[in-house]
Amino acid sequence: MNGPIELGWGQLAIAASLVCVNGLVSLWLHLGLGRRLLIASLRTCVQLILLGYVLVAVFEWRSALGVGAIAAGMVLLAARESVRRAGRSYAGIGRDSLLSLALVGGATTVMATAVIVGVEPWWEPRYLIPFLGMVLGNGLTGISLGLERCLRELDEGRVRVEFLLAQGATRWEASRDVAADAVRGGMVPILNSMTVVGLVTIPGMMTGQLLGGISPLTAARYQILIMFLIASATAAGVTAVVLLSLRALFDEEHRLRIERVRRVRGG
Amino acid sequence: MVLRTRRLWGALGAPPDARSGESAGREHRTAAAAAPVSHSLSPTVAPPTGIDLAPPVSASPQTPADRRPPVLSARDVSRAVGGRALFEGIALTLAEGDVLVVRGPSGAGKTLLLRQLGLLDPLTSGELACDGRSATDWGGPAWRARIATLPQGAPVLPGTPGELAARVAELENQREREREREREAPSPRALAAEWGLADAAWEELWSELSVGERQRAQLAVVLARRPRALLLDEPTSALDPTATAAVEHSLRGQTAVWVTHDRAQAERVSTTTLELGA
Repeated sequence: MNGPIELGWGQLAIAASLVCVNGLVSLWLHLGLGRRLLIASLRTCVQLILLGYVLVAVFEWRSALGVGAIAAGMVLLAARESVRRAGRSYAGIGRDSLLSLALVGGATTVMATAVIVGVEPWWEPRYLIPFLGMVLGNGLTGISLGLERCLRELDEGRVRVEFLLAQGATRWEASRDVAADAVRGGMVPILNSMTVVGLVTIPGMMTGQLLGGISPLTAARYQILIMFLIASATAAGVTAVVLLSLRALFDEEHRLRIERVRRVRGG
Repeated sequence: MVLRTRRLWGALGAPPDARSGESAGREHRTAAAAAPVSHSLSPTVAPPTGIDLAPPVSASPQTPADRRPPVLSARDVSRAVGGRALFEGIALTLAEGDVLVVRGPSGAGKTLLLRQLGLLDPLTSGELACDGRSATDWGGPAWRARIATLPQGAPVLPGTPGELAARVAELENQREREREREREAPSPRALAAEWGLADAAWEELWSELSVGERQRAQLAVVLARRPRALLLDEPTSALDPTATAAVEHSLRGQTAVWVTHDRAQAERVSTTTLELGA
């Protein structure tokens, strides 16, 4: 098998006409989605084409510094995205999310390229960037769910937390249930997708490798690797961000400072 | 706005054993006064004369110097809300078995005073000590394991009373106190049974219990740990007279700061009283 059939702009135009069907439905049912649909479609085109160009440049450039810069940019964007739509927030939430994503995403990805796959050099962008992208993309969902849950449970369950504090609990003892619940909440999507993968969905990366002409068994093994990376990174990332947020919301005398939780309008 | 300084004299009447019998034998005094700002802790200072004062401390048989070591003492505790001072310069000393009743209209800061003493809110001024050691030395969790707070209003919590009792008993600071204790801590179930709480209630969800049942179960969980001093925020507000009497009986000899609106209860349980103004 050789590479995939080249896909031209004309063929994409046909695909775009499918999206127009959505637009018509929206007009017909007065869903008011037309504008958002248009913007989303345009964003998809622009972002992916830009990504294509950037990757072409990075793959040819083959500089560790360049890969590092791209990776840092990806982590920053993921961190911003993970806290953007939160219904509750606190000062430093972005920093905590960034710290967790950077540590966990970086460690997992480097582990995968350097140790598991054994790419030479370990920062080879053809491997590192897609791995990092998938780890971050799923990690940010987990982190955003975990944070959301953690802040909500603390806010709504503060009576119980304070009851335990008032009997001498440390902040970790008092918030143990909150933390467990938040980590569990953040892990739900990846656990779900690990359960149905291959049955209901064929993951994007495997699809891509199949189209690229790689043997289905190799593609399957890569997909398993990716799922494991995502699962471990999500677990570690959610745990890290939950612990960091708890540290921020209790003070050094182990008091719950619920006033530090800010409700975000529209959240 | 009225800023009033209260002084309390920790030198109190009879020792706990003498007090354990008739309540008629208990000494009851009101030691609240409008006074110029003073942060005196000394029990020998004569209280300012005039307002609502019981006999000065020096008139008491055990005084001038009550030699019982203080369990809980506070000096110069203040709290302001939105720039308005609720209370200022509060000083108090409680020896073993003393009960300080805190009274005052709604909004006077009774609950906030308890939150300051229980270190549930940052201490904005003043100093606290338990058994001769400062709150800073103890550190928040160790302090609260000794100066425990019963929250107001018997809130609905997740889970069951049985789970809560187990969680509290396994807290690191509580286990540490358990090791230091000579006598074994009583069981919350046995305590609450004396107050008429059915044993089955311990396995029911908090949300399915009545407010009176929740109040007894929560008090039992807290009292069973035998804290050095207990901060009680209207602990019998939802109880009938029989249960209230039983609770008051169980609390005899327990050092406490007790917020109550019930004048009769205040007279029954207090060894000294603090009036907070609105």
